[in-house]
Amino acid sequence: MCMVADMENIERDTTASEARRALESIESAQLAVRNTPWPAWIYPVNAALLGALALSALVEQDRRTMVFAVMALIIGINVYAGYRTGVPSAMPTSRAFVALVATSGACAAAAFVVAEITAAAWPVVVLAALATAGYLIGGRVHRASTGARS
Amino acid sequence: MTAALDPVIHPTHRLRICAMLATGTTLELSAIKELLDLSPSALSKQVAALVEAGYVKQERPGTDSRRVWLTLTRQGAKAYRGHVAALQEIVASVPTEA
Repeated sequence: MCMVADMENIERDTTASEARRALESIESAQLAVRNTPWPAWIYPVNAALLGALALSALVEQDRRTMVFAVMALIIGINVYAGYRTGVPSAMPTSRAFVALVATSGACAAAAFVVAEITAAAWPVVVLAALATAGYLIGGRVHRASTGARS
Repeated sequence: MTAALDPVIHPTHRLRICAMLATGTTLELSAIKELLDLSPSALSKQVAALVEAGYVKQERPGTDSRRVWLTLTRQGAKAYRGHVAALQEIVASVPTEA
């Protein structure tokens, strides 16, 4: 009963400008969560692991085990870093970072397709280098977007 | 008006806490404290009100009991969505100035 009365009161008393300010504060709170800086070490580690993932396309024996091990390492390290920062599952706002991570992942995936098509190792190495470089550039972009000092 | 403002969520800090939890799913209390720039006692007061209303779940994992993790409950997520919809309705009900 008291709760209903409270609701009626705040609805009557909340003006449009107050509601607008409340919506703005929601947006800034959400941006603050999404732009929480990541630890600096996570970028080179992820970049190296993406490169390793691409290079595992060259492995002839136990390739599947190698791929799963590297993927498990990537997931495990990122979950650990997320829990250390206290913000484990927020999507970064930087579209450039997300696009570069997606591109790096695509390069790693392409390495496996290329390894099936050709016996030459260099295209896989080039794709691994692109995956690593793409993630490192993305890391700089992300760090700048979160306002963290590089 | 179809959606309703929620008196528990209405205070600014509680609204911001709910907004953060709706975005980040699970957040550590100290991360929220840092992002909101609130004193520990002020924050625990706001969190206690949300926990008491059944809107937020507070957990201390066995591995590190010093760290407190907060999550919006289903009831809390529903109340937050309703509150945001009510705010949007209030804003939409007034014609914007050109």
